[in-house]
Amino acid sequence: MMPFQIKPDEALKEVQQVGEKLARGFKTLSELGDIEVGCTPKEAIYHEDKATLYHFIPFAEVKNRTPLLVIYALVNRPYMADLQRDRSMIRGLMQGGEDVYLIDWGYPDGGDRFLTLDDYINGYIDNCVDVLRKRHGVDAVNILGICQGGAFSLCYASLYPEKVRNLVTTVTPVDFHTEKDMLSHWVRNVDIDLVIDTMGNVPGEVLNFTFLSLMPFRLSGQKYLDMINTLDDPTAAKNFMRMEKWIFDSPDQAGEAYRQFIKDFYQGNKLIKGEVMLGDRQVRLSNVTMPVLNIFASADHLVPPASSRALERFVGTKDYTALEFPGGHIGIYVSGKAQKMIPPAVCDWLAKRS
Amino acid sequence: MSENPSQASSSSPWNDQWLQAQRAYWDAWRAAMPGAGGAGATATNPWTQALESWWKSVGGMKGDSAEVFARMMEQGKVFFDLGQQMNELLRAVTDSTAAGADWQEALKQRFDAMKASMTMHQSSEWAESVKRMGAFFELPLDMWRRMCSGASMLPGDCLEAFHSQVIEGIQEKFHGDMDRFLSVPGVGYTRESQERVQQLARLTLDYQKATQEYLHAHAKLGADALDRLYRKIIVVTEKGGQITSLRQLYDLWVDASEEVYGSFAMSPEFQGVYARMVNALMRVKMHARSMVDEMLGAFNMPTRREMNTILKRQQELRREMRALHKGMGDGPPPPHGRRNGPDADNGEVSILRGELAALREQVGALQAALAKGRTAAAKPAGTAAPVVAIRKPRRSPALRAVKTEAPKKAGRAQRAKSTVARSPSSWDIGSIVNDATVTPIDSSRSGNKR
Repeated sequence: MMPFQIKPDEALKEVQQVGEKLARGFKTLSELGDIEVGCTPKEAIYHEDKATLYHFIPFAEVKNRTPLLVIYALVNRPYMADLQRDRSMIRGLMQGGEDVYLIDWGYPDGGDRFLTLDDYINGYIDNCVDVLRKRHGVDAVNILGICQGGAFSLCYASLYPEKVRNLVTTVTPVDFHTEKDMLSHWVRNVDIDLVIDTMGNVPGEVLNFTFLSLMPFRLSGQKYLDMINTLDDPTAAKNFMRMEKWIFDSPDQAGEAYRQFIKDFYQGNKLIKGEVMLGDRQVRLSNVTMPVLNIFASADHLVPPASSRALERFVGTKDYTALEFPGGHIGIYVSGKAQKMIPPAVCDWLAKRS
Repeated sequence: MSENPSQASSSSPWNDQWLQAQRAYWDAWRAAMPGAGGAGATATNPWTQALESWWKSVGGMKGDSAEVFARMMEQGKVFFDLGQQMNELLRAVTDSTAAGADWQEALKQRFDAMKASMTMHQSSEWAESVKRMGAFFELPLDMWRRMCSGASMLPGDCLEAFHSQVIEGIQEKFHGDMDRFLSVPGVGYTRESQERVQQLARLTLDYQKATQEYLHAHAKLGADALDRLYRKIIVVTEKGGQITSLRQLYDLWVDASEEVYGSFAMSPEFQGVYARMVNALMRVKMHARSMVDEMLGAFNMPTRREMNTILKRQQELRREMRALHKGMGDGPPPPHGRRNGPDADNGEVSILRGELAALREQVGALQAALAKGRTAAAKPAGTAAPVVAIRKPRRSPALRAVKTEAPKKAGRAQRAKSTVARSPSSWDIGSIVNDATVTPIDSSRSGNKR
């Protein structure tokens, strides 16, 4: 039987509606005004170069006396974890009794071109951790790493296990050579030395291009047609625009740090081999002996679940928990489902280990 | 009039109603939007034309939303073209079916015709419409072009203007000829300069070639996606399903496109063409940069090379400083260029230590003097007690800065620092010692966490 049961008048109506919604959407978008992101009040408590350590001002009772430090990736901006009031992992963690801090890496420029992963991890992260240890009078803090920030957290925890009480990794790449890792596949033959020697810092536009190219028709096509249907609703339009702002808010990447991350992690897969060197120190995941909660997304198009799952095989801890979220790489932070699932699970897991 | 396309004929609603409504709607839109609709517009799809005319009439959009709206417009046009194609496709299929042909075969023929329009150099109106729809498959390429715009030394990526089948024929010869031409050795006083320009041209051609390779590899995607879409439609039928809206068909098309692209993007072929294109572009830019550096050097101006040397040395020095600080157990190093970090005074620690030592010395002297005074008091009157000179210690610049920047509700650490300016008798040496190394920016909320 012929599958097309599209009636001409209904097809016409569909096309007409798209046109009408676009015209009405013009008005909605024109009147939206500034797109505000990052909803939870916070204070800067430590600056170093362009890195800032923020403390989210508690609005609920702090039950866990050990501070929780969120380490974000160098790509994109950390307000994704605090996008809006009803889509904020940070707020969820605070409601669950955590005292939350976050490192914002800022926007590197040409002067930061020679920052290395050693500078980021043994420098900025370690300094931020020390600030928190002194501020709270504790020997160790809890750390939650996001994506690349999760890989940094693993490196840090392996080098300074005495300063990390519990470690939570979210959508974190660990094995960079899994079968469905498109990013890894693409960069395998790219001459990264040539790229960095030529460009210095890597422009944010390159990263935008790369991430959108993972699913170009959905991310640059279908998404906008979907959006046309929600243009009547200013709230929905504003939510969409917040996400859109985040997607294209890509800081440049400090050249040397990028060089090492691509060569050692993506091309060499050295994290799981124990061959990553930060300064003169060797990163061994077997040194990650504190409790670890590893959260990954089943439909992650950027960090395949298999890449994150691999952590279990390499960490030295005897207290390892894995949590699979039924969604994607971004949905794990901003979807309604994630708000109900992720922060409570993290708080509960931490509470049992405090 | 029947609404069922399967029963439609060549004079069915798919021919007349669709086109009439499009034109009526376009006219209505133009009438409703003052200034819309350019004279002499000849777009094959009036919906698209109407949209473009309206967009011009409203003068675009400014601010954060402009880019987003432009993307929506693009997708709106793709959707309109899909509608246009559906009109053609359903008419053809229903006509064939009415004539007793198998609908699957009719559908396949139509899809084959669309594929041919995407890959062949045809100039019919219908082919143009298919190509506009096929432009969807240029999204990855479009993103690449925008990302590296300005990187190409030839205007408008000139070789891209050639159709892939055309360029295939001449590319090899063109590059061979150019290579020979560019290999003519330079002579005379400007020999080196000439060679650099030749090398730049050679690298640029390499980049054009690599881009062409990348484009060519992508050219098959549109046709492959139509094949995949055809199979998906068959699967829908086999499962007893129906396609009841344009949007449903659009979503199937996106699914098909992503699947085809995903397989291609994970292939060794893609890995190769992608790497060759990126590497070729980098070589062009690197060479161009070295030429700019040469020129800057000739004018005794700072070059990128020199800047890199300086920045690299500076970062190495800072790394050494960090190691020294950590080795001394000073905690986090001082924030660079800031005065309001929690350890803003780390760089002044040695000054503070010196002042502390002086204070201890003075307090010791004071205590000794007091003790002697008590002893002297027990002595006969007329014996004078020794005089001890108490100097107010000089405040370091850092402390002055901290005091200036300290918030009104200063916490314990800030208060400890501000006590340095008080009289010696009120100094809390313990506080200074304990808090000298960490000064939160705003300790009003932090001091109570311990």
